[in-house]
Amino acid sequence: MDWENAPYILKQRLQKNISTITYILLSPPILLYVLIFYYQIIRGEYYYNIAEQNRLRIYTLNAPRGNIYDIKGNILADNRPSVTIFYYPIREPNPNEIKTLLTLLPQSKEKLFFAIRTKKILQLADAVDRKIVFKLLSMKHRISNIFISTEFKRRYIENENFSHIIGYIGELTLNEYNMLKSKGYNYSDYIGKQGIEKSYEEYLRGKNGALIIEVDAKGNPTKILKDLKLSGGDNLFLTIDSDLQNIARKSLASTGKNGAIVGIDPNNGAVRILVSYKDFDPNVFISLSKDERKKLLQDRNLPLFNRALQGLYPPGSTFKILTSIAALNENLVSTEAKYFCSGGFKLGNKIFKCWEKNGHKSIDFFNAIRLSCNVFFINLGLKTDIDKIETYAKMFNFDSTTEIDLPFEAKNICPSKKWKKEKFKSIWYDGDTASVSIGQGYITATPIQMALFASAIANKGTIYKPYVVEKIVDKNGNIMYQHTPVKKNYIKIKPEIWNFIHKSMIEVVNSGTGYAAYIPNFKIAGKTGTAQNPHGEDHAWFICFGPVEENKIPDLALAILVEHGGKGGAVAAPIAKEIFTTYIKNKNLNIELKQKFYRETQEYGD
Amino acid sequence: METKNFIILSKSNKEENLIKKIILSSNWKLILSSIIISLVGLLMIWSATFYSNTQIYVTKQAIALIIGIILFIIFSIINYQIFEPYFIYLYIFCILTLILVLLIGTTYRGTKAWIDLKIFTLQPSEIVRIIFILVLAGYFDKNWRNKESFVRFFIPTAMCSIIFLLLLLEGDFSAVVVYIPILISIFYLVEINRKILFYSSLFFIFTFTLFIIKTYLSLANITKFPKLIKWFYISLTRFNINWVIIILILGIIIFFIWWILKKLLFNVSIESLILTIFIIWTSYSFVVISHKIIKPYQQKRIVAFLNPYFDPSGAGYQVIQTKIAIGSGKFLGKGLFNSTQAKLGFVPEKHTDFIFGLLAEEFGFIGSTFVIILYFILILESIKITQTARDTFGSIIACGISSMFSFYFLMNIGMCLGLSPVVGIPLPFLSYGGSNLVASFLAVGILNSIHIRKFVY
Repeated sequence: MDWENAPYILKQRLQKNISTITYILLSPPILLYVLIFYYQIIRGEYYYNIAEQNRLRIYTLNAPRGNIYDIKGNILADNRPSVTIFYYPIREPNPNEIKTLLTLLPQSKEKLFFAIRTKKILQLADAVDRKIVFKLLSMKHRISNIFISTEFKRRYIENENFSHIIGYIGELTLNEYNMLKSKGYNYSDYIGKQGIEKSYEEYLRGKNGALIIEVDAKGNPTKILKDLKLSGGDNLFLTIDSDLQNIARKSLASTGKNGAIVGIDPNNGAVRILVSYKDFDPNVFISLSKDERKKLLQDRNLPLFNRALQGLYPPGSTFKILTSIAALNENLVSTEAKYFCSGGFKLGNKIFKCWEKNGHKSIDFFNAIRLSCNVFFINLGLKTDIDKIETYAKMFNFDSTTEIDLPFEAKNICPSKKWKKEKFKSIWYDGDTASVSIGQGYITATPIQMALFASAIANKGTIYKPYVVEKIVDKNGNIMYQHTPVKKNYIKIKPEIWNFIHKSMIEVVNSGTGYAAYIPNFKIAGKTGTAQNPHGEDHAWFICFGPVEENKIPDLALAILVEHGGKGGAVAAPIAKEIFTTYIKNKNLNIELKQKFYRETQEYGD
Repeated sequence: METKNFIILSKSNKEENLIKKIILSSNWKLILSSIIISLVGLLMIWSATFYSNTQIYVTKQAIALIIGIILFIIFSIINYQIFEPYFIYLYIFCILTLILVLLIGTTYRGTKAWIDLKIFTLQPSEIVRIIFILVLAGYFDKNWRNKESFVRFFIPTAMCSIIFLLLLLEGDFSAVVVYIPILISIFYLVEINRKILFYSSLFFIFTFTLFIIKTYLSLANITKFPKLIKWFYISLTRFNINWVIIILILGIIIFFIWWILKKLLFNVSIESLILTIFIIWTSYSFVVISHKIIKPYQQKRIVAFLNPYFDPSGAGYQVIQTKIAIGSGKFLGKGLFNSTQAKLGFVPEKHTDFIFGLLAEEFGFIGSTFVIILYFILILESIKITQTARDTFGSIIACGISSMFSFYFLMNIGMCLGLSPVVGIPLPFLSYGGSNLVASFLAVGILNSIHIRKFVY
């Protein structure tokens, strides 16, 4: 019947519309499925990290940096503990707890109530008195929401005296942070910026502790996920002798001029003294006083500039030793050689003057070193030729850095024909050779290089790599690192030449230009230098080593530079005398102590 | 007219093994997918409220699930055809219910849509929506021979508009939104005049986009806009001489478009052009009016998907954090009860509107895939019922219900992913909300009832 089938007939007509509707209605699940695939699989990691950032709050507890000691075990840098108290509203606070907290920390009342009200983690007090800390610790079972954290602040005990060895620390800059993020540094962390603090950063740094807390959307902490304990950095023992260092710094400062003193042990390359004056107090960088830092940066004496490592000066007459060694070892002259000094040396249009206006007349090799005759060494240099001088200078490390374990060392400049051509696009003249052979002209060296040079003369030809860190000991007493002397080079030179050089250098101190360093009954070999410079008064140099004894390598080789000091013999040599006087005093004291100790052990031993 | 049996399975009236027959001919894919989604929903609600000690939500949802299943069984057994002659009474019932809500309803978050029954609160608009689908189906089934646009388009639109008005008075903006896709898909199915369908769709699209643009502009910092747009916007918001200029410019632009189209041999009549302009004008006025009704917080929510930073602490925040929650689930998810985004309160409404964020975070891509496949089956089966229904009435009902499910799904998950406005549309079966769950099961029951009776002739 038609009327019965009527709805069915209409429905047939609907069929063709249904397919369109099917597609439209089924598209949302498919479309959204694709999008969810994108968000969860392709971008999943990204969103996961955001979610983690949302819920995690990390509070770092800075680890104390390692201590720094000198060779005798005197402490040079340590950490001052500063106690900070945090409030963590994880559990519901009870009135008793709040009351005890208020009696102990009355000044942080407002902060405490704010923390309770807002349920936020808050630093209640900074640099808390120790008595209060002990009281809090004894009541810890009663006060649940308190976290006592000890922060360590760096302290440099010897203030200025070691500033250029130890360096200083400072907050990370943005660049450093981006570079070191992967190593676990935070933006507010301190990092070594200069000196040992920089070069031994990884040992000194220690491991920061952290408190990882989960917070909800309102920032209320819900639970502590991780409590990582901090561990302090390793302790460093330096090769520096603080007595010598202090006296060196004191005597240099008393000249009123800037300068540098480096003392190296010729037996192994250990640096005993490293002074650069004008210096600074590294504590300034911890105390966050911007004015003082600004003052340091604006000081015209450049206190932050490490002259001992970064300053390049012409070595002056001290370089004559190298010229002598080159000439003698190449058999170009004998030790008997004589030249006539008329007070000047004419080369083309230019006259090289000797410091003695009247001239030394006929002068032999020995006296030429003793009296530092320029004319003699210009003659010697011209005879030896720049190529030979360059070869020997390179042997004595004048062409590179000394590779000391301190940062930012400058590279010495050892001129040669090739070097001049590259640098000035000009050929080498004899006048250049004449300048270089008396340590002027293109040659420049750092004070540490000159100390290394002195030490190589002292030990008759071994170039050791200078170092300042003797050993590194972790907080459990395990030795992490022990320095063994590194020989960079050995210069083979006939022993009689060494003997001649030593003899003449001893005579420099005994009766020559370096007489100001003379100490009775103590043999010091030295060579003065007066480096001319176009910017002002001459730089005063003195390199020396002592004590010179038969079949024994001297204990200390020094290079002393006084910027614009004038004559080396008058300004630099007296400093060497003071240092060696202290050295002798200490040595005698040590012998006495040893004898005393020996006697005592003898007495109690049996 | 024939009188339809209350429980009819065959014309013979000889019912043997009624229950067996019902069970055998039920659409089990539909039933199982909806029940599994509901159980997943229960699990997710449990997880969402696990640490806040509010197990009451799970209990309430479980009770609603039981009620829903009972209703589902009842409506499966009842022959859906018995509603057909009574659609006018059902419509009156809808109106009265909504008026009742307006009179005695309780207000919750600015929306007066709940009736407090002490033991639980009821949201009648959820049930009304299903009943209104029956009303529309009944109306079209009765007037299927009448081709007049007045009967086929204007009367149903008017019927719908009354309900819209009541819902807007309740402040239930999200409930209104759902009617539109249902209405359009039913119009399409019953083949109303294509022109009317086109223009009405145009009207809805214009209204929707204009509304969002208007809200967006009213919240945005206009000083940052290019000069022309700024001038245009300021002119539109203030009634002044500029209007004349704008209308002139628009008129010229539209005329040129029309002229070009004519050159390209598209037969666009000048009447249709005028009609388009008229529709734009009406939708704009509609937008201006509705913009005044909607509260500022709702405005912010609506446009938060366009720019979450309009309201970074409110709706925008919800959108941003839910997206993070979904993404952070990665492949395997963080595990049941281990969500961080949802559990720590970054995702708001984690047991209701944004429950999918919680699910995606705890069960990852695998969990999302599982749930999306279930929804796909659900929608697919509903559409199949549209196709295989015995009569027009059933077909229209199934069409309305399946478009409702599809639209719910699109809007809710789109909202979680920051693609659609935050209008507070729940995810059927999964979100917490008893009324919605019961209504959804009622809808599935009706679908199943249609399915069972498809073979009967």
